[in-house]
This record gives sequence, C-alpha cells and structure tokens, in this order.
Amino acid sequence: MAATPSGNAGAGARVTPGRRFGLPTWMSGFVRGVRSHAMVTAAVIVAVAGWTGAATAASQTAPPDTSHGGMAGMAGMAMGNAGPSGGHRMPPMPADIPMMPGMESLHPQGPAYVPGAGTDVASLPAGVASTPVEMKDGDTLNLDARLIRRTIKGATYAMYAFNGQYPGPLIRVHENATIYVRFTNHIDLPSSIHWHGVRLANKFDGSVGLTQDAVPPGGTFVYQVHFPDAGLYWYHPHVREDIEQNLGLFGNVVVTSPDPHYYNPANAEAVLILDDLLVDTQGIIPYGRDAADFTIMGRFGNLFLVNGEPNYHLAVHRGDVVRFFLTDASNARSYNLNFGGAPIKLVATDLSRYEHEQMVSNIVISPAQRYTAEVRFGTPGTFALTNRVQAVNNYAGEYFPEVDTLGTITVSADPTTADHAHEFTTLRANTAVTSDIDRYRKYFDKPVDHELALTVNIQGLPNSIVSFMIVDTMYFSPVEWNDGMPDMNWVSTAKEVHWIMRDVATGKEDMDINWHFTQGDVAKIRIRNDAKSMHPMGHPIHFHGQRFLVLARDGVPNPNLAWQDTELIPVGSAEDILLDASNPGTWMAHCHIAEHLEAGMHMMFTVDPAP
Amino acid sequence: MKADLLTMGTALMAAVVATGPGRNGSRLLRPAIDSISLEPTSDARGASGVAVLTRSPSPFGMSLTPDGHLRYDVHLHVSGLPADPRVYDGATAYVAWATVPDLSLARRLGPVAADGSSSGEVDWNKFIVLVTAEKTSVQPGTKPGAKPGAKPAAEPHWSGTILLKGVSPSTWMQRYGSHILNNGGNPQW
Ligand SMILES: [Cu+2]
Repeated sequence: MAATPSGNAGAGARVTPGRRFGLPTWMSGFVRGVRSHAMVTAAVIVAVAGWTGAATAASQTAPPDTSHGGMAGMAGMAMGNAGPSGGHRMPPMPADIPMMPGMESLHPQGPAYVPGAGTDVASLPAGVASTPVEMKDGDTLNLDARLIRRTIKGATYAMYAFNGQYPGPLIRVHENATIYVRFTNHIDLPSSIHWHGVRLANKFDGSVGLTQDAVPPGGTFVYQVHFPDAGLYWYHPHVREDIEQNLGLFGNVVVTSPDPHYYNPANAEAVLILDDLLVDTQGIIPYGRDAADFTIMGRFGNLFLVNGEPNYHLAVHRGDVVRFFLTDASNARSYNLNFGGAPIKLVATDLSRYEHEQMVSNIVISPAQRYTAEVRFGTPGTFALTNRVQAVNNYAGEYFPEVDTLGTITVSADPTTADHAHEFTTLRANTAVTSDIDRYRKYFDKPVDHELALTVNIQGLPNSIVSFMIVDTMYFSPVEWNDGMPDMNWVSTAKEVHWIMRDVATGKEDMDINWHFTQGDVAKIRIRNDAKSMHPMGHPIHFHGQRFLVLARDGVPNPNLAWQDTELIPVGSAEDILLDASNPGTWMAHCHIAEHLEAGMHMMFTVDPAP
Repeated sequence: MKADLLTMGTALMAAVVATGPGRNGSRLLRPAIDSISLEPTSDARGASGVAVLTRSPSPFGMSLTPDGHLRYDVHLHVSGLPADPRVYDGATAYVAWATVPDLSLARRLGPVAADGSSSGEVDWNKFIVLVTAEKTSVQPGTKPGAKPGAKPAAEPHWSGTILLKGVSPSTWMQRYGSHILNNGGNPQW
C-alpha cells in the first residue's frame, strides 16, 4: 500500500470505541509482527513513514533556500557533504536522555549545509573580540560579513563575523543620530542586516523580500539608520537566521540619551550577548541546506557563549554597581539568569526604561529580547553568571535542574572608588516614561483590533517520531527551557513543520496576512498561543519598525509598562499588546525562534503615511 | 507488517485526537495546562472544585524562581462541601494545600472561604492540590507515614481528612521510555 506521511490525523481517523487510552486492537498485530525483534528496526519505520531519508541527499550544487518560505532568495555558493546522510550529523544527546529507537538511521530531509565546508579552516582569519565604535550623526561604518576561524575550548570552527569580530562591533550612538552602514557580504550565503527594534526608515529594515533584495555574496548595501529611541538594540541578518545569526552575525547598538541621569550611577557597564552553539566532537552540527532543521523546537546549543566566549569574566571592586546590557541572540533558548545571588535592579527593556524600577532576583530573557539591569556586588568573592532552569527529560517524563555557568564576576576585597549603594537601593519612578505612555492610556480599554492565534501544522514526519510526539501531547510546559528530544527535533525541517500565525477574524495565515494601519493609529492586538496544537511552544513575537506596550497577560493588567518590540507568548496564554503604529511602511511581524521563522511563522502589516 | 505499522501510526494518533477537528484537523485530548480539576474523595461525595493556575506577576511575563521553577498563583473554587466542617471529626475549617508527588513537602495555601474560594502560590514542577478539613489552629504536622514522635516538618502539614484532590497539569507529562518502540514491541504495562 502507498505509504502516507501523517503528522496530524484527520477527523476521519478511526477510533476504537472505549479503547482510546487502552491497548487498541491494532497493537496486537503490531506486537505479533515484531515480537521476534529486539526492537523495531529503523528501516521499517523509515519505509512505513514514506520517509525518503538517505535518498534525498542528491544534488549538492544548488544554493541554500534563503526564501523565508516564499520570498525571493539569491544565489550563494554551494557547500555540503555527499554521503548517505546528506552530510547531516545527529546532535549529541544530553546526559540521561537516550536516543529513541530507530533514530540512528533518520536524518533531516534534504542535504546538509556547512558554511565554509571545503575551505581550509586554518587559512581563515582568526576572529577577534568585539570592539566598541562611537559613532556621531552622519558617520559611516563599514560592516563586512565574512568567514573567520574561531577556537573555542580547544576546538576550531569556521564561523561568520562582522569585521572579523565576535560579536560584531558594539555601536554606541546618541539618540536621534543617523548613521550610515555600508554592508559588504563576503559570506557564502545571501544576507542583509536587520536593525532589531530600531524605528528606522522602512527601506533600511533589512527584511529580505519585503524591504530589500538579499545582498548576494560579493554585494553591498548601504543602510541609513536613524535611532529615535534611547535603549539597547541589536543587528543581525534577516536571511536564514538559523545559520547566519547562529554562526556569529550579530552585534549590539547602545543608543544613549541626552539625559545624563537616564540611568542610575554605575561603576562599570557591560554589554552581554548570550548565544548557544550546537557542536559535537567533529564541529558545528550541520544545518539544513534547503530547509531549516530543528523546526519543532528550534536549535538549542550545548556550547554557551557570552560575547562569543565560553568563560565570560568580569573583575570588579567590592561595592561596585555594574550596568549590564543583556541581549538573547540564541536561535531558540530562553534563559533564567542569575548573578550569583547579587541583587539586581531592573531598569529598562527593549525600547525604553520601565515606568518604575524594581528589584528582581533573576532575569528571564527570550530570543531577541533585551534587558538593562544594574547589579551591585557588595561582598568580595566569585559570583557565577548562570542560566538556571528546570529542564525536561522527555525519556523519563521528569524535570531536572539544569545549571549552565556562562561566566564569572570576581569581586575584589578592595572597596569601590565611588559607592552608589544609596542610589542602588533607591527605586526610581521614570516620569518621562509614564508621561509618554499617558498619551496612550485612552486606548488601553479599546476593543481588540486584531487577534492572532499561534499554532502549528506538522505533516510528513516519520511515524516513529510522530508516535513519540504523541506521548508528548499530554502536557506542554508554557515555555521550553531545554530540548528534551534533540534527536527528533533535529529531523524535523521546514518542509514538515509549518508554524502558523493565524488572523482569527479572516483565517488568513502567515504572509497572507497584511494588516493596514494609518500612521498614528494605536492598535490593540491579542496574541493567543494555541495550547491544543500538535506541539505548542512559547513564541517570542517581534514586530518590526514599531514599538508596543504589553497591556495584559492572561487578562491581568501589566502594572509596570515599558516599550517593547518582542514579547514571549507562553503556551496557552493570551496577551494584549498596544501597537504604536508610528512608522510608515510594510513591515514584518514574526516569531524570533530562528527555525520557527524559517518554518513560516511570519506575517506582514502596513502602516500608511498619515494624510 | 508494513500495513500494521502504518496502522499503528494512524491509530495511535486517532487515539489521542478528539472530536471536533480544528483548522488542521486536530484537536488533541489534553488536560488544560492552566487548571486542575479537583475530584472528591469518598469522604466528600458530591463535592467538586477547580484550581486555576495563573502566572505569578513578573516584569518578564514568566515568573521563575532563581533556580528556574515556574511560580504559579493557585486560585481554588470548591463547592458541595458540608456547610459545617465539624462533621469531619470536629474540624472547624476547610483548608487548601499543595504537596509534591512523594508527599515529602506540603504548603498551606490557605483556608477555604465561605464562598468556596482559596488561593496561594506554588513553585514546584509537579504538585498535588488538596482540600482537607482541619481543626482551627493548624499546627506543623509530621509527614504522612512518619514514625510516631518524629520531629514535625518545618512546613505545616495537613492532618485532617482529605476531601478534594487534583494533580498539576505537569504531572500528566508522559515518558518516552515507556513507549512501545523502546520496549521491543512488548508494552510494559
Ligand atoms: Cu516560535
């Protein structure tokens, strides 16, 4: 009989009455058929699933699909290894999570992609640490993306970098400055630069297929970037982020306010970009050439990097207050950051400070989000910067505590030269923020203008994977803090997994959605994360080119507002955001898990200029 | 054999796909992740309740303890309990509790008000919610099964009759390890 890939059973699927959770009759035949085997062979699973597996490792000459699921890509150079697995390598399994039976012969559909493959890594220029660059209004910065060589924990990798730096140059610029960035693409993929969170002119947003064509290898594009809002921003390509951003193409922009007291006094500033790379003993786990892999949960790394380094270190004096600018540049990972128990004052997020400063004991940050926090190290000693989460072991059906040490802060016994303890313990009310937001309060109770449902459609994964995923369907964490099923996640590509933003009113999905606003409109948008889909997951949703307030989470009003561009919507939750449609153009909104974006989770909205 | 395995995939999915297909043809049977149905014990037939879980407030949306436990506010609504708790061995109040699956920890969420409501906070990965009938002053008790004379637990523990119980949605998390494909085709149940 014809093998039919099946991810979601339709309404017509047969259910044995009264046997839904018992041992269905079909299983007796199954058990008979395989009883003599130690385990079900992978070959059978593959054949039954209609999974073409190794047979698809055909042409290695076409460029990666850089289309974001339908937008025009540009040709790049081809890389990849031939072979029965198409050049793919299974990610290492975490301790205590064994590989599922049959997985050893599965791999993502389509050939693998290894940037720089065929290049002698030793011949690549060595990457260097990021350097700050102060830019004045009208200045021009050349940003050159190219392959570099990096040695991390003794292993050498071919990676990408802007100007050879990891992360890319740290741009410091004043509020309301306009700078020019001449981007030259010397990597082996088409690329662009997106200025995340910046309310800049639409045509410089870097959204390939929407605001510009991709910059081909060897090509150049000049971005005119205007920074209307003080805050912390970052830049990254908007082409195959799952590859390009993951391999190091990102950097921060710190936009400073003319107000010298915008932040509290601090003894030091530290700009930290968090990232995680997925490696094994042979190198970076290859990517999908024609379609992103790891599309169920996104690619969770096992090598944690802060500013590109596995052992971030900062030395301060006893009593020092350090202002940390934090960005999550990971493809998929949300972090729960601790500073060794040192007290943390939360000051600002994406595009603004909070109405009220508040003390927190830890910081939860999701892909593309930023937080500005001041931390006081009052006692000498070593403070570990850690990610501490309750991770899931899907094999055991249990949680386990995961502690990832990202770096250390050593505090010397020497006292600080300027003690800001009083200012640190004083929580300010930022009246400038509140009075700006006051102009929008009349819209807080308006009806919902648009409602989005976040969901997924999975079709065509091997039956073995689907049957394991069904085991998963009884419970989903609101946010997944680790990958408890990396073998299965890896096999899923953008060809089988389709993440969906659905406009509830029209039923339109993803790039068929194009909401229209007029500049000056203030729109209430409800975003609901469907808990009943085949494999729900928390999604960090990002709106380009505008700013929004999170008015309410699950109907509970947000008591401390700040302007954001990215908000994590947990599974089963509904959140109301108030979009300040201030910036004309046709823009993208999408999930910032790189693999979900590649698997379709993006839509459009247009802000027409005010008449 | 191919047919058997293909059937397996379809039937297994059918087994968990409820009626009323959505846009993608699936509506999976799954306990709600934000509420706990409280079922009566034989001591409280006719009683019912629900414990609704909401995210504890946090500027990050997700409220986590430093070690990563999700912090939930638990809002109970119970009904059908006898108006006078004294029928339960002279108890004077109904009290809501949370405990962990091995019962080694307990947390007093709070008394059940006359309107059947109670609330508290829980930050365990998997937990059980209970409503018991207690004497007015709930003293720190000992863990169930503890030897007579054992030191009282640091946290107060219920000592009265359990009337309603329910497990956290996370308790429904299943094990890949028990999957038929991990057991040579021989189910282990
Ligand atoms: Cu997503």
